Amino acid sequence: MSRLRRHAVLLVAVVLLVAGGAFWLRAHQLDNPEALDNQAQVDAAATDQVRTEISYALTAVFSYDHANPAMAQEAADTYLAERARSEYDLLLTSLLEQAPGQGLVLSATVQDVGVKHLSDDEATAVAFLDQRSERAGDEEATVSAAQLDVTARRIGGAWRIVDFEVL
Amino acid sequence: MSGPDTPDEATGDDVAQEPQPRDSESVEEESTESEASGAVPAWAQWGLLAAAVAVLVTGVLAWRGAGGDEAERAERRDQALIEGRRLVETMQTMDPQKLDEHLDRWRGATTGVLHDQLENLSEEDRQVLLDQEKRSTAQVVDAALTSLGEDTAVMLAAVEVTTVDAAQPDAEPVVKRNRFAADLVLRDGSWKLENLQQVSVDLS
Repeated sequence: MSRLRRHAVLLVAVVLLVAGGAFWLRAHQLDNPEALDNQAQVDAAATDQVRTEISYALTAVFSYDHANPAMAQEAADTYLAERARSEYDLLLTSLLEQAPGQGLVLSATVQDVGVKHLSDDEATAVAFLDQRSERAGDEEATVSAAQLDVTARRIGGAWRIVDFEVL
Repeated sequence: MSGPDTPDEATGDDVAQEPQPRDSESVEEESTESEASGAVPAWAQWGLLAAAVAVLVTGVLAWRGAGGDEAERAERRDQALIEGRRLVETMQTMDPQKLDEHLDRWRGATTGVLHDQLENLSEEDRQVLLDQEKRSTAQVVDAALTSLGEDTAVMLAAVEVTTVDAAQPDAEPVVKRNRFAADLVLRDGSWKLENLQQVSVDLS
């Protein structure tokens, strides 16, 4: 083989390798876009599970019956962790201080939950919550609408709310 | 990979010495180069070329097959959310002094029945909007999708609407937090609002 031909073959091989490598790289990028780090709405089953569990947790935690205060505490122990837990205790304490002996009953309803971000063990979501509050002797209950930003983490297989912020 | 000074261990069909005599300079040059390339035999060079072709062919095939359903869905979700937020803000923004400009934006943001209604506003409807005398601007504080289809999506949005009374320009702007559910539809590559409902408290 002549020197020229030898070089040409090498050059062609290098060009093909570079081009092939570029195609592989692009293929990899297309298969693993940054958007896929977020599994919300992509993994439908997992998204539904988070929605359901967050909805259930919020309903339990934001409901309170003066006749059975232990139930709210149990719900908080079950569904809350980390910052959400301490935040909740503060919230409940101040609520009870404001209304001592008024026979307070709170019942929460979750209107809807949308999952913003979902990975294997962490999720963030927007939740629309209604809270009906009734005091002994009230003619009518008042219902307030809230929007919450919720962060949940999978702890021991179950989703726990670790942080929430009223928007 | 042959040359006049290719070592004997080189194999292949073109190992034969070149018959032409060469001047010393050329021979020397060839010699250094052969040593530098480690005297790669011809079969190895052709092998390298074949491997490179294989890399290219498989690369092209991988590229053509890339971007699976999941990747496409994830990107559709992100696009719906980004555009949906902007659409809701547009629909919650109004300045009666620039009514036509804002109505044009509303029409551009909507599709379906909602769009048709905006296309066919009666003089009365326009007057109602003009009479409000309130300038409002909106900001989506937080939003998420609750469902995503091939060309449909439902988005929840927590929206902060700031209203200024044009009749009382010195008054403090009123800030309200509202929550909305938006039905989005993908039309010609961009998302449009098909419906925008305030999510009121459930009094039942």
